[in-house]
Amino acid sequence: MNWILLVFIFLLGTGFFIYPLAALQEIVLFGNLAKVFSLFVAASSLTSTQNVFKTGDTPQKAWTSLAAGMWIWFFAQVIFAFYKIVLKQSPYPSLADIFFVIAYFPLLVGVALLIKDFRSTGLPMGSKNSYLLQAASLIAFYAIIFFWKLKDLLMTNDAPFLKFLNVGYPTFDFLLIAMTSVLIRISLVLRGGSLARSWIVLGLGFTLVGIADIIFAYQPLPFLDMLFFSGYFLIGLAGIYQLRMLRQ
Amino acid sequence: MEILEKVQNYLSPLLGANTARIAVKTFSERLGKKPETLTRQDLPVLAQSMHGMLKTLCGAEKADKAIKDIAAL
Repeated sequence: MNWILLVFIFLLGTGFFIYPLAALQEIVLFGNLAKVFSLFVAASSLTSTQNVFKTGDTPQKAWTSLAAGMWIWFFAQVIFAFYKIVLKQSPYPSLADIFFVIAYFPLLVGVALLIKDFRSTGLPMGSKNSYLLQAASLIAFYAIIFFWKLKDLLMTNDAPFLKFLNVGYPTFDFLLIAMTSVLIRISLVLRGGSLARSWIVLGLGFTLVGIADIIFAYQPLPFLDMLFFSGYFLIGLAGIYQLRMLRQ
Repeated sequence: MEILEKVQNYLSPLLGANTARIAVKTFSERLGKKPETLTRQDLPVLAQSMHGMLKTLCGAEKADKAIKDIAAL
């Protein structure tokens, strides 16, 4: 068992103990520190993976992009934790939100590059029809969310940037989940190998973060921090599994 | 051991057993051969044709080593 998994299990266990028993202030402290730490672990792990590839290697671009995204989320989380722990404030929008949003771009590019790379290998990915069906289902799902919740957020008198954030967060999360669902499908073709394991935990990590973010937008429950840091640890594990494959 | 089995066994730890099987099938069919009819003489060409895939999935260094190893199986 690798150290990331051990630390993750320890934090998860601590979380299960702390959330039902501790006071809100301690929960906020634990949640924010756990997120900062797990993002640091994830960003460092993806950077190590990126560094193992040679410059110009196709996977290097994808992992560099993913690592950049995780570092930006890390800085955003440090700023957010500073507001919450030191200033005891929860400003929204804040400086942290700018970084949280910017990070989606390299993350989406990274996942897109992994998919594009796999397509270029010439290995079968599944039928075109199944992807069309998947895309249609995802678009229909987003349309339901949009007309049910997001459209109203656009009609408010809030400042344009706030409107952008309110709609942008769930939209970016949805895009990330949609793209990683393709990655998880590809991983099923690759099942049994270290590469598949890496892509599956990466996909699961982004899915957990996306789900936590979407719920957080409507109900900022403290225990969601556990979903966030679990997602970040899974993303970090993806880097470790990719490294393991390269060192085999 | 059959050539097909040797190539699959080499690729399995890298790509997973399923992908290794699919890769050998896909690339041997591109050479106009059924995987079970592969011979030792086919290996250098088969390995070379897999280079792009291996480079994309594992990086250039690992791919270079893999094609040399497969060609020499």
